[in-house]
Amino acid sequence: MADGSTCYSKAMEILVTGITYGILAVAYWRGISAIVLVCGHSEPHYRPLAKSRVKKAKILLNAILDIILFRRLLRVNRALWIGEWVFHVSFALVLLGHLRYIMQPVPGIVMELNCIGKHAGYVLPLSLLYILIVRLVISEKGEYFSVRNLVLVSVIFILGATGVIMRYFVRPDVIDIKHYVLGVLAFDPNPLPLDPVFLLHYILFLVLLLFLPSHILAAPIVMIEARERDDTFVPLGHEE
Amino acid sequence: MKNKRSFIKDLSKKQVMEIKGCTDCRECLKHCPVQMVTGNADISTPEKIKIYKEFIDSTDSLKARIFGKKDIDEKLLKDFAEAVFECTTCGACGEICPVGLDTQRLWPALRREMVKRGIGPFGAQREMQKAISDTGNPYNEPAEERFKTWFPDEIKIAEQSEIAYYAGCTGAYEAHPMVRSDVLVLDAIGEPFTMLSADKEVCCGFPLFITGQHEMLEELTNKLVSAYAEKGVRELVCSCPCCVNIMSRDWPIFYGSELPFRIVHISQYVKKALEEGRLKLSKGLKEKIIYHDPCYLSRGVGVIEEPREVLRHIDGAELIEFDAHGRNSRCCGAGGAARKIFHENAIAMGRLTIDEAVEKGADRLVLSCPACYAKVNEAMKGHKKQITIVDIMELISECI
Ligand code: SF4
Ligand code: SF4
Repeated sequence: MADGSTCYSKAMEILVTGITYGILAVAYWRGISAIVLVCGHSEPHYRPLAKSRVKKAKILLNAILDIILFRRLLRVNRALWIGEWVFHVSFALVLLGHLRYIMQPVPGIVMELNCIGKHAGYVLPLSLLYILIVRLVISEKGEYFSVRNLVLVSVIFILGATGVIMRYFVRPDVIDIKHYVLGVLAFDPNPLPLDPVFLLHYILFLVLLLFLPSHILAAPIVMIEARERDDTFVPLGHEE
Repeated sequence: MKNKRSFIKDLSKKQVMEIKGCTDCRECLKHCPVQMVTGNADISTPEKIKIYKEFIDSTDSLKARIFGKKDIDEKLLKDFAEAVFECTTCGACGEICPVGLDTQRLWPALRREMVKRGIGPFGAQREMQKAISDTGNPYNEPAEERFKTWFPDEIKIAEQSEIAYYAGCTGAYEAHPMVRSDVLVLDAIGEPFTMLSADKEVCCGFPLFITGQHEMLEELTNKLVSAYAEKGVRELVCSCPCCVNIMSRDWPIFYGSELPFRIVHISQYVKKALEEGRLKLSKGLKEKIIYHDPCYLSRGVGVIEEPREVLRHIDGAELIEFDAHGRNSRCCGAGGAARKIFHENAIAMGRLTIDEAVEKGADRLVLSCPACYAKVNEAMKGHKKQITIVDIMELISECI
């Protein structure tokens, strides 16, 4: 007969794994929905502006730099730009570092990325703290920081902080974690590691996935359009 | 509220992406003139976009397509419509947006969607369509009065010419010194120019376009374009930034092809005449002048340097700038026909412009838009800080 703690861990496993599948389904649904939304309606006004290939290539290059370097933000708020840029880059590196947990065998490059991700993990919460301070200093009545943004930043901050804690202080069994994650991805769940810090980290990751803002996919596309608009803008009377 | 109409059908893909692409960073709040005078973040760009995203999800998301459209909260829809009509459509939020939303084009599109749903336009904006159809102008003034009170008797208009001048309704009915000076300066240049008769020079369509009432736009455009084409016009000169904006950006769409003439802002025409020596300024001014960029001229069509170059031709005048100028200029409150319903906002915005001009020690505030001219003059009444307001061509005509 199973004792109390086994029952508890089984129930926890079923609950967390169930939530995981639920959230993954929602995330997929949202992705498909976004594609359907943009592709599934008429286009009365749009026309591509640039004609020559060289011009198009220049626009694309500029747009890529806009996206990678957040150049539009740099133009309007330097103090915030440095925080946002460091945050996004460190977040991307941390995510890449996590590839190690969903791949078997782990390619050498992923091990390298994991190593870089380890350092980025320190920077991530610090950059978020910096963003918070900059925003709260600018904002007199709090209007420059929406509740939704504050929640998102807090979730990512705790995610980052628990990541650092797990790496240097509590050290849950990485093999167990990987075993569990690979099982979820293969639709054959393995026992859930019950380390509380890992559980908090994992649940917050699911929350983040659920509330992932739509701008992640759309904003880079808008930046390309905006760059095209800027680079092809001809002031009145200056047409060829 | 029953909700059958798609919220994205009449938007471009780019605009749908823009709505999805707002990061809610709120950088735009610091640059929005409506925020400056109301402090109401609930009507800010990210809030409006957030609500519109909900509307889109209710009708156009995958879920809505499979399981049916969700009903909409009537109050939310009305609040949204009011917020989008309270905006001056100045586009400052888009100009500084770190993502690059083209809000000067997005807001009119969302207003149009509200109008199609029967919510908006509001107040006096509602009368504009009928007024234009009855009298040719949105102010419901008699067509025969269009040029009467301000047109200088001594000036002769050519019957046919390659150059035409369009006065525009706001200038003709609300900013007489401005249009009068336009004509005086054009006359001083010496090239014959033509105009349409008072009954033929109808509204360019901008007030209807900006308030989302599109039914008459093709008709107005065709009427004006063919009337100018009949007069052999190759260059249409206009001083109103709103007219210039719709003529150059949207008339070709309503007309169905390229226009048979070029659209020119009067500052561009005058700048060329000054450079070529066809216009000479015999008098100078020992004054500090500050120039305000109209949103639809600077952000809209990129006419930024020409008015300044014209002003630099005035001997002795010292040109100073607002903190926010050029593409980053701050709306004076007259934009987007919002002044017709949110009068207090418009006055408060006008006063921000006046205050800064006074604080910077300018002797005169130079404007180049009839709507700005009328509204900032109104804002001056009863205000503690005072400055003389002058239209750019009024200033030039003083110096001829
Ligand atoms: S267009 Fe101008 S008034 Fe409207 S929300 Fe943007 S900045 Fe504010
Ligand atoms: S600046 Fe742009 S992205 Fe940021 S809240 Fe305003 S519209 Fe959205």
